[in-house]
Amino acid sequence: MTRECQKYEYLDQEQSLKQLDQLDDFLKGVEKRAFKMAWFATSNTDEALDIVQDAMTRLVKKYADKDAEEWGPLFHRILQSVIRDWYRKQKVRNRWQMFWSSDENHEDPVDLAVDTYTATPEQQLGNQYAIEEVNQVLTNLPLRQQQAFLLRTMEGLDTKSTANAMQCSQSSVKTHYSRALSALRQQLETHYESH
Amino acid sequence: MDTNDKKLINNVKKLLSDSIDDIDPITAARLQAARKSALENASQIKSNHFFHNNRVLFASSSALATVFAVVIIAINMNSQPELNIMEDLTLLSEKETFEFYEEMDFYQWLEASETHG
Repeated sequence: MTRECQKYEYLDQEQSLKQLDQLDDFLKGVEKRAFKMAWFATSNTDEALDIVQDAMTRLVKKYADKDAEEWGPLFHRILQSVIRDWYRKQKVRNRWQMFWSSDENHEDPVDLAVDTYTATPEQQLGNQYAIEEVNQVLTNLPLRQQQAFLLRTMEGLDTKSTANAMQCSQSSVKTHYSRALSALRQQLETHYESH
Repeated sequence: MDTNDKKLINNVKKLLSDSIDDIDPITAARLQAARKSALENASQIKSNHFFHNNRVLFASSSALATVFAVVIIAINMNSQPELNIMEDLTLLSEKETFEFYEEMDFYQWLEASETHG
């Protein structure tokens, strides 16, 4: 291998390492919020972690070479897509489980699943009750309303970016968001009035 | 959106932010592991891509060198017999005998000595 080739190989490797560092920083910045979004959709820590890892892997596999500014919208789009896939599969699975156990008095496996999301001692203090209440309301929202609300509120995305992430129209986002807000208003009335 | 809605949204936003900060260490560690795994996967793909590119480059240059060598050899092999055939044809088409050509030096010397003489 010539010296010129070695130089290019070195520069290429250096560039890749720099890019991976940038990706690492980006993912570090979004991973907890992404987990939270997936957790609200699944109500299960293991499933939520799988969804986040899947979204991260897809991003780095397909879009590592893109500009760093593009990673945010792409990651949200991928995450929403993975969450929707999970949701569809879960729906089919539940339908089959209900079909097979229709004449038996089995409890819903989703209800029986162990929730590994354990609260830390800190969480049990202060506004823990309010957090749990919000968690409860958000978890019970229809998926599209829930994700639209989280993207707008937690991620701070505008209507256009939310529509892009959810692959739907801006008017749909407005409807989902408005309905989610209405549900929260109704169900968190006590907490809402106390603040 | 009225003031109450804004207040509600701000409260929920704060609660969500608190719940993110309070993600338990085990889940946080698992998230970190998921990130590392995704990135390792990417670097592996990149190195495979680099190896693949180099392999293609090596294969292409080897093939090119082989083709070049074959062409050179073919030209050498083809050009030599062509010249020999041409020479043979010239010799065969001449009326003179082979001995004439074998003793060409002698005839040239004879011609030169006659001219000078």
